[in-house]
Amino acid sequence: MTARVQHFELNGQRIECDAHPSKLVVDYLREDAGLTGTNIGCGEGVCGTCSILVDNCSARSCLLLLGQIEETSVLTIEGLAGHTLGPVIQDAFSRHFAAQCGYCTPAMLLIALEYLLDGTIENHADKTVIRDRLASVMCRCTGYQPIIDAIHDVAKSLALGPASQKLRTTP
Amino acid sequence: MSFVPQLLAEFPEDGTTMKRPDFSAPTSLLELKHEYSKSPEGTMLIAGGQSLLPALFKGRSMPDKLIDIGRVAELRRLEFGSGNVFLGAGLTFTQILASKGATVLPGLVAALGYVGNCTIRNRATVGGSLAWADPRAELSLLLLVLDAVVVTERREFALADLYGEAGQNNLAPGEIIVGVRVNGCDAKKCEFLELMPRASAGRAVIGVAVCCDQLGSLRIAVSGLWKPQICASVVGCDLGAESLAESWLTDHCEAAAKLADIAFGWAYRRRAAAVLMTRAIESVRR
Amino acid sequence: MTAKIGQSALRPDIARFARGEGNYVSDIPAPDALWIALARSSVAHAELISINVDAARRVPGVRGVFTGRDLAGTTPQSSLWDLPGQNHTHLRALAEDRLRYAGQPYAAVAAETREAAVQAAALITSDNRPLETVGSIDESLTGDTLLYPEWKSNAVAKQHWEFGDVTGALTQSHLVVAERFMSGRVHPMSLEPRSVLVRPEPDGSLTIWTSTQSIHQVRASVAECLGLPEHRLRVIAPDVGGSFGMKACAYGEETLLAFIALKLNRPVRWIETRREAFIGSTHGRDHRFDLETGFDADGRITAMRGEVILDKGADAFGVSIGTAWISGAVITSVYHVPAIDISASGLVTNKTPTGAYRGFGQPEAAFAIERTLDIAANRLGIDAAEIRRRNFVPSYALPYTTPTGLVLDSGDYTGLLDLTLSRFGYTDRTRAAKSRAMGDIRTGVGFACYSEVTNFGPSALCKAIGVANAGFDVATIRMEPSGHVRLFTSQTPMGQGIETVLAQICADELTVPVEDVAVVHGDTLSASYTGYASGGSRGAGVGGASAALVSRKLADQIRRWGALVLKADPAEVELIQGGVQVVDDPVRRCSMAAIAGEAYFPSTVPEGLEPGLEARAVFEPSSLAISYGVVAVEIEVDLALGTVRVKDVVFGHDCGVQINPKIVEGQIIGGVAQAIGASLFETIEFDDAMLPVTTSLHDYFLPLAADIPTINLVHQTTPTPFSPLGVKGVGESGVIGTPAAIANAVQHALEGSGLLLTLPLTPERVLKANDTLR
Ligand SMILES: Cc1cc2nc3c(=O)[nH]c(=O)nc-3n(C[C@H](O)[C@H](O)[C@H](O)COP(=O)(O)OP(=O)(O)OC[C@H]3O[C@@H](n4cnc5c(N)ncnc54)[C@H](O)[C@@H]3O)c2cc1C
Ligand code: FES
Ligand code: FES
Repeated sequence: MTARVQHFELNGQRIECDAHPSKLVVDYLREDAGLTGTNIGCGEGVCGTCSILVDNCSARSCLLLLGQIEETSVLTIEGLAGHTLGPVIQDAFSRHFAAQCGYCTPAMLLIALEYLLDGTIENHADKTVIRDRLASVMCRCTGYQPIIDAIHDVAKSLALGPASQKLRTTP
Repeated sequence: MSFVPQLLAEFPEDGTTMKRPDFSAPTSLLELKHEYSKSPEGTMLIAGGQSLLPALFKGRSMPDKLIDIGRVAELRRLEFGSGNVFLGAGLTFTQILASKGATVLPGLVAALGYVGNCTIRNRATVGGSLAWADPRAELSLLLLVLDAVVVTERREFALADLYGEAGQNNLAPGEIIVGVRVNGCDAKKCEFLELMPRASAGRAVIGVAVCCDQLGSLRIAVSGLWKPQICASVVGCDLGAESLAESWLTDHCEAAAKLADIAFGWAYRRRAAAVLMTRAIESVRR
Repeated sequence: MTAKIGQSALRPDIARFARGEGNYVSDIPAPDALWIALARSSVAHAELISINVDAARRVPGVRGVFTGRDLAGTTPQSSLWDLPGQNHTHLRALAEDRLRYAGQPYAAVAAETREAAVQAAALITSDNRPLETVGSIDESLTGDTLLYPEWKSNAVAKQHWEFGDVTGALTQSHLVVAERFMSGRVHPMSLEPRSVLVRPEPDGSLTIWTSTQSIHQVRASVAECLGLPEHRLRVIAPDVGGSFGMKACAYGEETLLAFIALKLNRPVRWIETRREAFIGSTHGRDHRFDLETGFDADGRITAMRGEVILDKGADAFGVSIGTAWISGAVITSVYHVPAIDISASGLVTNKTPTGAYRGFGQPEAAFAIERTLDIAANRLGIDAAEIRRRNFVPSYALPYTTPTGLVLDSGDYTGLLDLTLSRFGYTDRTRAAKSRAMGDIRTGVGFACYSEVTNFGPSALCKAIGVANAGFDVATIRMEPSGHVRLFTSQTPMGQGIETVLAQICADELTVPVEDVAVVHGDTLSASYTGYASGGSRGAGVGGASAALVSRKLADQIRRWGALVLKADPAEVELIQGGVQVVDDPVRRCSMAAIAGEAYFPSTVPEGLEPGLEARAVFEPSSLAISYGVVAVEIEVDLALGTVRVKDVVFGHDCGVQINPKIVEGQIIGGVAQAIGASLFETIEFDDAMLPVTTSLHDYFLPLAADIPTINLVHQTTPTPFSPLGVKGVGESGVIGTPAAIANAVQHALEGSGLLLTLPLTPERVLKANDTLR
């Protein structure tokens, strides 16, 4: 038995926990941390509903062990509003009706944030690129269009706004 | 309130205690070798975990211990020299795609672009992909036509020798893939084409990699047709692309067990492979 | 914010979801609950001889193991549809003497942890005597093996419509198109699996949280099966993570968990795994439609003869053969068909039961008739749009009773067809398509019309067609002493935004800001009984109508109390801008708060009023409302590989008055996406032993973002005369015509002689139709 304390940052807070390192992150989030915003759609890595960000990169929390997030910074939907871009994306989702049942929504927002922060992308407002990126998460309700529109909207306003670089670099 | 299959907790026959595998995360290759050699049988390496964890959920026998190799700096070496490439086993596909040298290895961007989706590529690693020996894996298909060399902590050998009979890898107990090397790729041209069950992310139905060297001789690999993927050089390079693809497929047709499932039958797969191969050959010859 | 009918008021719940504050059944804390896991059959058909539960009982933490024998004293679950002469399966939540499909539950474990429950369930084994399997409609028809020997056949029920001289008309027809149209088996696949939590309350009652569209149906089912009085049962549907019909009916798990909770006097919970969802939640489609349609030389339909058969799977619970019934009933769509002879039936097979899925028989019918029209147009050398124009029921003939007895209420079919095709650029695109060949890539253009049966109701119709639930809707409303409003509805939100739509209707009627209306839903404790709940595209049209009626009743009370406050004659005052004022005298005005203050703390109570502000209203639709539309698509097909990509969709539709256009748009686009999945990628398969092959999202290809093109809408608005707001439903519109439109477009692109008659259009089928794969 590995008696080990895990250290990581969760939604901006330093966490020390003694949950088993072989525990799934999604179980830790929902059971131990009480963060039920991360939903489970398949538990086998395919649907993406359980996506979270680990050091700004999306990951399936149902295919991730607690030991693997040691010393990383984890963002779940509950922490999104604390990110400079969070409220902007949340607002765009509301305005575009980018959710129906809401089950995929937390994951979609986090994928959107990861996408908007991704410096390797030349034009964040390119809908084809947005569509490709959204392949990470399944949505059964919306047909994706309003989600694409919402992300496109944020990308456009970031590209136009003077604060765009600043927003992208300040976590 | 989780409802992920809870098989990560092991249930002993008598049902007395439930135990999860131990977990460690060494930070150097030396430490990793030491940890792993203690009990190579009951231990499994975990890299991205994107293949291993689903398999464990499905009931693959649980190890006593998992060693996470994600922190071993020596496994993340990425070198792009003049025509030579070294990909560290611990690199994720996203890291490779974001690196300046991604285009040095011909066909790499195309091949990795077909893997799962961005979130999977964020975690899937070179070592994990090669070691898992999934015949549908894009990376190994491409590296096969490029005659890549696998580097482990104890030896080097041709990638083709990594794959064993029953979809197993040929690594010795306790052996660790450190990376993979490709030489002379500046003189080669590659095309990677894939048929997926839908337009976007999904595991390959048929994958085809074709490599053309300076002299115009071809190496072709195809997945999704026979049980293992098949890679072979081409004889009779002067044929047209379509006839060449046909003759290559006919030559290897008897090689192994045919693949087919309800969605994609053998006749269809055979045809799709010929089509993709023809297109890939035309592309590298262009 | 004021949000009149017709404005796209924002949905407050989207902001909540975007904060991660969705509250699905699995999010409800119940640390004291036992976990339930089910042992499911691993064979498709067998006699169940004995069940071995000893090993399961020994797993630490197990508090109970239950088998069919334990449930023997309970009443079998009844079917929501009960047609004359229907055979009933009389199954309980756990199999008793026979296993009829792989995945059928036959034992349940309750344990302190989920791990223990899953482990124990895995240790349960059964001794079976294998039986021959019935794997297809054809095998079922032979009757060689019977799933329910007492039925003497495998047929659940049959319906027949006959009108006019079909044989005569067909023999005299210039052309008869006779084909077999197959709609494959698909999975509704809500992203949230089903989930149930049951808590015994201190007063002896039970609270059931379940992911459902139909709280009252679940309550009725549990009450009936367990013999419990309904006032001791409270069913709550919190946020529902998608349902699409799959959560429309009560399932055995709700009864089973209630049973175990009572037995053990502990809260119990069950959360379906994805694998269980694949084998244990009802599937959709799996229809075969044999249709023979006669045409005269001008392309006018002379008669139709058809037989639709539903592969019902192993159990006729839930909607029974409802989808086949509707399929037959709507086969004439928006066309004038002088003579028909149509039969509809459902047969049992050893597969997971099929049930309701968005579209409910209508996509299957649309696929048959819209493909038929294209085939006929081609053979007669008539343009595909023209052949439809010649057959539409003309606007002046509406309302029009179809030969199967449905009433087409209102609309302008030709107008919408022409409008949609011109927006789409149909003529130019069709011409351009042929010249745009690039290598193996061909472009195809096609369209299909559809009709959607909405505002499901008339209680009398429900009764006539054997639906056990009535079709009325009840709403109650209360203005609180502060002047704010609460509407109580039994319509259940599951992503369709019905709560926002209802709030808008109330706000509009009462002239108050939409934020001043709270909608209380998803709880049998607060909602009045409503039979058919949320399904049949009736939320806005029927639920919205009762919300409007009840608001009007409340408005009347408000007006009279307002008159009292203003010391005016009630006939002189009106509701305006969130208050009551004397007509044409804005100075003499009082607020809702002042009125509510008077109503709740009265000095005098006017004649005919009672203290407080509350009302109840029932809406009983007098007829169905038929939405309709035209789906035009452009596709690209790779003739060498058989793969299809949908490039562009223009969707013209008429759902009457739109309360919230953005919500309408979302329903359509989401529906089109599901239809693209069902047309091209999605298929549930079984192997030769009838064991399910598709049990993971790895193998079931839901469309992803890159598979769905931008979908543009064309709106036309013809109110229905049968709802006070003129509203028709739209929830299923997107899925009905789209598969036929895609198939028509792919057929247009092909060069071979074969016809596309089976969904999904897999690459193999496309190549075969193109004569390029044998
Ligand atoms: C939804 C989904 C879609 C996917 N789609 C694709 C796809 O389209 N194409 C594709 O190729 N893959 C796909 N994958 C698989 C993914 O790419 C694999 O997970 C990856 O290739 C394996 O890498 P990993 O780092 O996750 O390995 P792990 O899962 O961590 O390990 C896999 C195996 O390799 C061993 N191993 C790992 N590293 C080493 C090492 N350095 N030396 C020796 N042994 C080692 C482990 O012990 C284990 O047995 C998909 C996965 C998912 C969940
Ligand atoms: S729940 Fe993790 S990917 Fe589906
Ligand atoms: S909103 Fe329901 S799954 Fe995306």
